[in-house]
Amino acid sequence: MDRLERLVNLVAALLETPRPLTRFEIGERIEGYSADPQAFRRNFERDKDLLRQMGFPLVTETDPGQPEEVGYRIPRELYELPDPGLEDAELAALRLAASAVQVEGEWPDEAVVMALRKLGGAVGDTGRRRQAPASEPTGLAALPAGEAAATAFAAVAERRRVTFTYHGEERLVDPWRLSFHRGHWYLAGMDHGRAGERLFRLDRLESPMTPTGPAAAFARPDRAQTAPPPAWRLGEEEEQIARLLVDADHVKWARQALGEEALRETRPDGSVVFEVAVTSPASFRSFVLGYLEHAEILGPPSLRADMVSWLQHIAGARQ
Amino acid sequence: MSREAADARLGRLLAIVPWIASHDGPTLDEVCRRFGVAERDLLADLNLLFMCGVYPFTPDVLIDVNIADGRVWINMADYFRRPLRLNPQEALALVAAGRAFLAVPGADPEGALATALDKLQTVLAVEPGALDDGLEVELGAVAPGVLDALRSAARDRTKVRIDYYSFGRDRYSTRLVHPWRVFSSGGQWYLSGWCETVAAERLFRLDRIVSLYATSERFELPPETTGVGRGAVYEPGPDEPVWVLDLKPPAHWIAEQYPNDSVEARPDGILRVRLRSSQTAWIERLLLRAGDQLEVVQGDVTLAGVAATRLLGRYEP
Repeated sequence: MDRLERLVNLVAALLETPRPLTRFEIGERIEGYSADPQAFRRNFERDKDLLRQMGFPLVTETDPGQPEEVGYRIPRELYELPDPGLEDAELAALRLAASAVQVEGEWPDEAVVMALRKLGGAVGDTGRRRQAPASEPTGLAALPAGEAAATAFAAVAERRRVTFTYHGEERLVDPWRLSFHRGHWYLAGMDHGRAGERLFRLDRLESPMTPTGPAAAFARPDRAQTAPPPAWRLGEEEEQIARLLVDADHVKWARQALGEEALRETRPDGSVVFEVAVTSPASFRSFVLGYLEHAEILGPPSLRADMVSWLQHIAGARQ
Repeated sequence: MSREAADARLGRLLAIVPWIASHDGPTLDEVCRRFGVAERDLLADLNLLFMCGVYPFTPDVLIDVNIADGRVWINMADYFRRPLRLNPQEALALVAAGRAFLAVPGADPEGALATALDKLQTVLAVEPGALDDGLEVELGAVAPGVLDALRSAARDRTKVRIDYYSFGRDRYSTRLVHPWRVFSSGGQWYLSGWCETVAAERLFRLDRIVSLYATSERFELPPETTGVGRGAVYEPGPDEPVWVLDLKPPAHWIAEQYPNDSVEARPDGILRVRLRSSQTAWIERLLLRAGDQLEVVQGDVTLAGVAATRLLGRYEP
C-alpha cells in the first residue's frame, strides 16, 4: 500500500477524532500499517516525524477514559488555515513577488510554492519550475534566511516567547519585530534576563531559537528599534559631538552614511561639516578613515588628537 | 507514476482538496494551472484519494471523487475542508518576499500586493493587527530615479552612461555600460553588466552611482546570461597581488568582514589572513583601520605608512 494513502488516512483520522487516539487504535483503524508491532512502531514514528516536520499540529494527550496511555490527535483549530479571502489578482501579485524575491533558507525552494497553494493556488503556474514574465527577471533580490528567522517570524506573529543563547547567555525574549537590514536579520524584543529592549542579530545566535509557552503571551509596543545604531553610537563612553569636514566630491557618500540631519554647514568650496554624536571614538575613527584624505575631524580636540596620534603611530612604525 | 517524495505529494494534495471541494466542478486544466501540477500527477493523487477516508471505511465515510468531462468534484471530505496552516518557513518565505517587493522603490503601496499582505497578516497572527509592522525588509539605499532608469534600460536593452565612484580605487570615472541585471543582495543594490569603457564585465553598486544618463543605443545580451552577476561579493582575480596579514584579537573583525582566501589561527591569538587585492584604496583603508593591531607578512609593508603620512597632511599642514 502506498505510504501517501496511509498518511492521508492518518491525517483524516487524527483530524476527525474528538478524543485522542491511542497507538493501538491507530494501528487498528488506519490501513497500511503492518500487523507486526515492531514494524508498526517504526512506521508510525516515521509518519509522526514527517507530519511534525511539515508543520502538522500533532498533539499528544491523555484520554481521561484511558489515563494509562497517551493518545494523538490534530486539533482542527490549530490545523485549519483561516481563509484570508485573497482575490486572484492578489494571489498573482504574491506569486510575482515570490518569483522576483527569493527568500533562501535551509528549506526546500518549494516552501513558497506550498504557501501559495495553501492560499488557493499559484495562479498561472504551469510547471514545477517557477516562470516569471519576461519583463520582470527572476532574482530581483535575494534574502538569505535561516531557521531562526522563520521561527522568529512565527513567534512574532503568534506573540509567543522564545529562548536562545546569545553572547554566552540564555535569553528569554518577547519577540516584537523581525527586520532585514544591510544583509542581516535582526530580532527586536524584550529581554527578560536584562529587563530591557534588545536587538539580536540572528546569525550570531549560539543555539537554535525555541518557541516556549502559550501564544498571545505579551503585548507589543508600537515602536521598536529594528536596525542597529551605527557602530560609533555603540560605545560606553560619554557622548561627544564630533565635527567632521568632508570634501565636496565625497559629500554624497557622507550624507548617505550620516543622514541629512547630521549636516551642519556647507562651505563655499562645496565641502560640508557634519556633526555626529559619538560614544565609541574607535569606531568613529574607523569610519572616518574610510574617507582616506577626503575627510578631517575638526573637533572636539580630543577626537582630533586621537586621529593624529593614530596616524603618526602608523606613519612612524612603517617608515 | 511520479517518484516524488511522500511529503511533497501530501502537502500538495491537502492544499488542492479543499479548493476543489469548495468549487463546483472546476476543470482539471484549471486545477493544474492554478496549483502548478502536471495532469498526470494530479490524476494519480485523485485516484489515490478514492480509497481514503476514516474508520470503518464504509462507502459513506470514504472521500467521494468524481471526474467527468474534464471536470472534478470532491465530496465527503469535511475533515479536509481547509488547508493546513502555513508552517514558519512557508510564512516567512512568502511574507518576506512580499514585503521586500513592496520595499522596491516604485512599488505601489496600495496595490494588490499590499492588500494581499494585509489579508495574510490576519490569518498568520493571533489576532487582527497583531502582525502590523512585525516584519520589515530593507533592500538597500538607492535613489528611486536611478533604480527605475536602470531597470527600464535593462528591460529595453539600452546602454547607460554612469558617473561612478570606485570605492576600491578611490576614483571617479564615467563609463558606458550595458545593464544586464539589477538586483539586491545582502542589503545592497547592484548593477551587473558589460562596461564598454574597460571592455570587461563589471559589478556596480547603485549607491555609488553619482549620475546616470540613459542613451538610445541598444545592446545585445551575451548568450549566457542566466547566472550573470549572481555573486555580489567582490571577487578578486587570480593575478591580483596577495596580502598575508597577521591580526591581533582587536583586528579579528577583518577576517570576518573582508573577503579572503584563507584564515589560519596562530599562537597568541593571532589570525593569519590571506587575501588578494590590487585596489590600493581598499587595502589602505583596511591597514589604516587596523593600525598596530595588524602586521603585514606579505605585501607592500610601506603602504600603510605612506598612506598615513598622506592623511596627516590634512592635520599637520
